[in-house]
Amino acid sequence: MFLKSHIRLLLLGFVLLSSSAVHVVYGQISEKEIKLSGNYYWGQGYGEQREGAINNAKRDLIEKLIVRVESESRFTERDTNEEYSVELQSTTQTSSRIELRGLNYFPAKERRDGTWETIAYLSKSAFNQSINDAEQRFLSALSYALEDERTGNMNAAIPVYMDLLASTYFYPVSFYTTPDVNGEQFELRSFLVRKLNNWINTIDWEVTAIRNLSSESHTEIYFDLFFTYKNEPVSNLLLSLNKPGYPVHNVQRGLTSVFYDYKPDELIERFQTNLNPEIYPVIEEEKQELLSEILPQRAIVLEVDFSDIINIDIELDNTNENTWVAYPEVKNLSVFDVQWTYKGELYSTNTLTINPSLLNTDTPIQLTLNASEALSIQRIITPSGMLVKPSDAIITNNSSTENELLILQSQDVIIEIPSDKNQYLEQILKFKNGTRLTQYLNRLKSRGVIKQVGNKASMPDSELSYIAIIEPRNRKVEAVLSPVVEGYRTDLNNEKTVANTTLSETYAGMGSIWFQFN
Amino acid sequence: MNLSFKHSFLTFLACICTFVPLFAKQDVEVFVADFANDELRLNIEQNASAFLSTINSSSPRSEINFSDTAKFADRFNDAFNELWENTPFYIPETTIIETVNRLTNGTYEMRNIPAYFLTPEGEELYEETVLQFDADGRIINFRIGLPAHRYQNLMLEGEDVTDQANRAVILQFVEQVRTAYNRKDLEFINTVFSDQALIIVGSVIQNTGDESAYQQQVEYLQFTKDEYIQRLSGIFSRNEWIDVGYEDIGIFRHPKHPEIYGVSLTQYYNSSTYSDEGYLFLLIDFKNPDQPMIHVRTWQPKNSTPEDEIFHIGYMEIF
Repeated sequence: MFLKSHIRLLLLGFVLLSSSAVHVVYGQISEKEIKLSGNYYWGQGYGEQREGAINNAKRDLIEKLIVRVESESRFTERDTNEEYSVELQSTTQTSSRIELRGLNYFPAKERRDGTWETIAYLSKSAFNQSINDAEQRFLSALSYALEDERTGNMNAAIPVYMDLLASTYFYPVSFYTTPDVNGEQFELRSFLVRKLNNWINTIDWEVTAIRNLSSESHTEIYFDLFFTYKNEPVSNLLLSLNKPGYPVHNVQRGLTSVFYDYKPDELIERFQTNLNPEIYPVIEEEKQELLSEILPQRAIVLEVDFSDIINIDIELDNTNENTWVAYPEVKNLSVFDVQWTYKGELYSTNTLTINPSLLNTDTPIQLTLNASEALSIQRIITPSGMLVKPSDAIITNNSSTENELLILQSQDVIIEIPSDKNQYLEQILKFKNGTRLTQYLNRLKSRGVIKQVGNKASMPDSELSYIAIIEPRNRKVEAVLSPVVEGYRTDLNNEKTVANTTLSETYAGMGSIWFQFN
Repeated sequence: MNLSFKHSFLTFLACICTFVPLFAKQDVEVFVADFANDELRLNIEQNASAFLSTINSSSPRSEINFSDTAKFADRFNDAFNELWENTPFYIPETTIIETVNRLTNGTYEMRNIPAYFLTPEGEELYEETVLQFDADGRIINFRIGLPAHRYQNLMLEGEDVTDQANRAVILQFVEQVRTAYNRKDLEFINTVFSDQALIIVGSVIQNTGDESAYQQQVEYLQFTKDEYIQRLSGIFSRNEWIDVGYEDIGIFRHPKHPEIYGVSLTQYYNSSTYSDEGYLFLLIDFKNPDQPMIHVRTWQPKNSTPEDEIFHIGYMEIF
């Protein structure tokens, strides 16, 4: 409704502007000739004042032209595709600014009741000539743009499609494409709308990196994104988070970075965003205004994995026999609000201080970031000053045999822990889920089967360390690599070897965790 | 010299006196512009020309029979003669070139046909009239229309094609209701009010003499449809002629019920025994577009109703 009324205003605006070119004809052509000869488009206007009559005559003429176009278009299209005709009708009804070259008027005359009337008219031949000229220009530009698209240069074609689409709104007739190889012709405006819709709805994207530039005083995170259309980098695109106050990001050569200043609530967050075609700045201002109302928009959901910047753990300093201190082990701590839960009490401090003399039994603690359960971790502090996972604490209390059954809290999966190293390795290779593999490795460490577990950056001895490669988005275990032998590691699942020096290229974008057996 | 001047002047006066009735006797030629269906166009042109020419050649208040000239629908002749009997008229133009609009019910109308209506006192009132045709070009209705500029402005206010089509039907309906009063056509009025219609008529019963024009005492009477029709019957029989005019027409579509429209207008009522001006509000139901129904009709005296008390569609709660 807004668009309709807006366009009506534009129409009126055009009509008022065009009145500067009024050419009043006195006595040259009769009313009968204009109305009955079939050589003219005409509109009749009435008004209490002379000006009102003139304006109404122009509006009547334009509405008649639009109605004529609609009825002809509907008729033309109905034969081929009924659904298509509905679309055409709705687009044509918004015909807005019309170039009426050669517009003439009868002098306004007073009527018997004191009101005024006049006739606005156009010669059909002059009008048709200007339409033909426009059609030639449009089809020529279209053929170049289609060639650009065909050769993969969609970034050159899109601005032309936009300009042509806006241009069609300046004429009260439908234009048609030249016949394609199948002899089919399409109404130009609908054709261009479909082109732009197909383009924006076919664009692919990926989050290539998360960059955290937060400081103590503010949160500043960037998602780096890469947009492609049929594997080619996209330009002429705007991206905006569906949140008020956030900037619009320009996509050029496929690249853009989205600014975000909220502390994350989840490891993987979903952001509602909008993709809009960027209106080419060279397009005339009036057309830009119109395009901003009619261009297609696409809503997409960006799934952003914060795993790379959120790696939660707890470190316990038990070197002081009177006071133990628990620290959050989190990168970029400034991005997070920290809460501790200890013996059922909530503490909003960065560190948790514990008096060991009061610790007679295993005691759970919980670290929560940004008040989000999804960003929390639980540990058990033992009276001896060990920090273990809750599941490990159960083992400690309930069993001492080598081949024991563990119950993973989150998955309710029963896993057998074997007695020698090869059996452990065999079990490790069965894991497809990285999170569960990490949990298993930590339990083996607490049992003393594994000496060390850590991320790749802290790996002490590559000749002794196995590496598990984990895809960070879906946490899938991609590979488990043997320790380095003569500069190579072996993927234990498929026996393929990879040079240790090329790991970062071979597994680009992947996460890793290393471990050493005792 | 003086005698010659007097002679010339008297000759001039004589010419004027004979010119007026002669003017009214002239044939009228009607042309339909911008109409693709040639067969229907010719039928409409022939019937409209014959009809209007017959009018111009007929004596006021004597019954007209069009059967020899124009083709018309059943009952049109009788209905037209009701109007002709009350308010005869003539067409002052010899050539009329107009377009013909197709209405949603498949009929066609030609608007802006100029006419001078004659009052019993001999006055001539200018009106614009409308001829309506069926799908074969036969005349099915003649009515007094809205002035061309008002009709055009109301139509241009339409928000979209559907709203414009509904507006055309509403204005046609309003014109028919208006003409029904001129024709004293109780039967038509009976058909357009729903049986449960709420009809409120206000009348000035006392002027307090205070400074404000709105201090008059107004009594509002509520009628059922039957009571209202009975009241109208009395009014029609007491008055030799009735002329109803409408101005300041506003059309408002109900935001929740798009088939319900409120029509506000200023009504000028003149008859041989009584005249008034008032604000008229009609709540019209277009659930059946071929048979619109008035559910509410209110009338408030113009000179004793402040603007903010004029009844409008916002006063209605529709279930």
